[in-house]
Amino acid sequence: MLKKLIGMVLAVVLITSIFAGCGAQKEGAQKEGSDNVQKEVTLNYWAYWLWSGIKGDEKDGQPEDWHKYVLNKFTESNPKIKVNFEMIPWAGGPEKVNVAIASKTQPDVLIDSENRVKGYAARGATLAVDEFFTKEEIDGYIDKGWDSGKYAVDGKHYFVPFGFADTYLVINKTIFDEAGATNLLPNNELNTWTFDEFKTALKAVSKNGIYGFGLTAKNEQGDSNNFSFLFGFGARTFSPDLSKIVLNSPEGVKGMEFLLSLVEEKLTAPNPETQADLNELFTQKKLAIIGGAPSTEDTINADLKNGKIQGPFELARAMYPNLPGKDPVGFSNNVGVAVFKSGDADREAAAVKLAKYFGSAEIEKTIAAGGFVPFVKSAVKDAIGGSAGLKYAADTYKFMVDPGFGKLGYAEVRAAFYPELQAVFIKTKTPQQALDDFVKIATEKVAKAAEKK
Amino acid sequence: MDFIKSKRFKNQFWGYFFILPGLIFFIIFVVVPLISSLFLSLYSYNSLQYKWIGFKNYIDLINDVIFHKALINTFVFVLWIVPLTMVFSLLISILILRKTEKLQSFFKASFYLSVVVSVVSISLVWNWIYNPAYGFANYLLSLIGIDPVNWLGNPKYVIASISLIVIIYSLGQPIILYTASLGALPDTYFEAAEIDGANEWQKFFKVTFPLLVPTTLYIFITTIVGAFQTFVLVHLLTGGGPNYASTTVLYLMYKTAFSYTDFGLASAMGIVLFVIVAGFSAIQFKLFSSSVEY
Repeated sequence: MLKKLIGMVLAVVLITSIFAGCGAQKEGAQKEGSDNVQKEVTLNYWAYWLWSGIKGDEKDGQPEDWHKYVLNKFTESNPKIKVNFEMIPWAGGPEKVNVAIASKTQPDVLIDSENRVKGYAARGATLAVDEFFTKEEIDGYIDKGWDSGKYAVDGKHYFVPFGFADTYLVINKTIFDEAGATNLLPNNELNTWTFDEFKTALKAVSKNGIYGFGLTAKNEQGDSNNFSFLFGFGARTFSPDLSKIVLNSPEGVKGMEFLLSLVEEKLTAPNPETQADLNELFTQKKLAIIGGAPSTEDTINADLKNGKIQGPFELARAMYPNLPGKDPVGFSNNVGVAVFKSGDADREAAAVKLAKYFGSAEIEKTIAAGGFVPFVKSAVKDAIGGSAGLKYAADTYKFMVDPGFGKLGYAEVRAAFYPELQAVFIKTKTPQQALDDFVKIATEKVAKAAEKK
Repeated sequence: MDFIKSKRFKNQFWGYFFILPGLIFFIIFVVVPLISSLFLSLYSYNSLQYKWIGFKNYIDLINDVIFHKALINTFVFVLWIVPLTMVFSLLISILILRKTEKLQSFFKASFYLSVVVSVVSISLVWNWIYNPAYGFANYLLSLIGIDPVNWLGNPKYVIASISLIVIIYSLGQPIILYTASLGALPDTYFEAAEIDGANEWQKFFKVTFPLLVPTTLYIFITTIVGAFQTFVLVHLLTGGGPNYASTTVLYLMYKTAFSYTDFGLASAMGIVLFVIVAGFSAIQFKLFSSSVEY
């Protein structure tokens, strides 16, 4: 019995000492690790697909190539900062970010569009970057460039401006040439045209399985191209002080009536589509004109070069139509680098450093392949190079209208628009009813977003 | 302590022991999230801040016309999907069972194939079939002189069009279950029915169908639960449109939670859906379980 007892005690002591040894070892390793953490920082960098390859025209270019190229350059000169890179998809990516914020697994740095980044700022998830910029650095941005990151509610800036891509009309000129309708395309300094001229051009090419235009009305992208038509009639989403949604103005209704007339006259593809669907139809030469951006042109040109598309496929560009004697208008997709709060000062400082690196003149010069015009003045000339699309985007940027990105609840506002657009197209509502309902729903959503804040 | 020492506990211990792993997973991944959702539905929560608002989310749902539309659409989906899946799977199973064993395996595998194929792939194919301008469905209609139909863009057709896809890809499981049950039915009942002079219809309705009630109950419940949770095809094919005509409660819940970060409201929708599905399941058990006997 005594032997058994001694044996048990020895066994307990042995097991305890083994665990204690392990524990001591682990504690030692942890201490070392903690020291390392103070010296080295690991960041999580998330990005959407922007373009394939580093320059955008490599035959075997991959969507992550450019990001990896920039990150390698960054970590070479900042060896203490390690970066984990994750590519996130456009479809489902915003939801992934939202889930990450909710589960406290958000990235440290994210490149994304203005509308979404300001939504994250509204929820208090991202850092204001004002204090990290000197006056000289801010003066280094083009007009309106620095303020593209400004959140209207508190006046602070929530991303490092990266680049902008105006939305304008991208035209398959070959289709017009073949239809003998090239003369119907605008040919003035900025390629502007009236609503009647635009419709006449669509009528000339909408035949033999080709549609003149395609409307995005299947998801939240319904705002980006369709708002430009309404803005062309003089409508705006919000009142100038952003206090009221006013898209149901007489000008807005005229814009909706115009869009409906395109559907009724069969000048558009018959189904509400996503932008990706329209790009595909355009690539297949089934649409003569789409709402696009410099990246739309870049993709077509790269596909032509790589043999994915057979020519002839000559591209041209024009502004969205506007009223005679009025300025053209459009809707710019501003992209920036956001820094998420992590509660760790070292990580946040390193994340700001990375974000500023993406927004530096050195990197801004390389973003042209993504169809973006840099926000940093000194990089614009090099970046644009010989790109007709980028030059056009740079020339027309001053005409771009803010649809209300800086307003709290804009994500809900754009989500409320496309179902009303669909209601007009399937004629369950008149343009006036649809816009009134949109304003009612969107106003409630904005109020609710303010309540949640 | 007395219970632990009792004979009853000793008899049941290993039973509980073996279901323990499943039970733990069930509690972690079903019970805990369900209770969390219940609490979350009483808060305004935007993924960073909680604010107690009581039943306001539920009141908002009562007044939300889009939620009403989603609820009605969900029921319409159920009404399309459940009866048609049940009838077709039973008919196909009966037809398959009359074939040789090799043909039976071939047909079962063919119908089951769609169950293992990704719904995303299926949706891509059907998106092409339903394309109003260049789709195969309209091409077939054009051969008999019928004008093209906007299958997914017209509120009259959109739910039926999506339901058809759901029915086709979800037939595999019920067919396997029905063929297995039909093959296992005792011959004695049919021999007795034949001696009594029953014809084929009488044999089916008086003998086969009553004997299939347990399988039918299982298929009915799983199909109805699945139909109430119609989501992926709506998400991929229509985005809930046109004008909310195909928005289901689950899709609206997903958008509300993950696109618009209103987790409280989305949780309230989830609880409402849970109550409805649980209610239906309870009624079915009550109605069918009394006649489930051999």
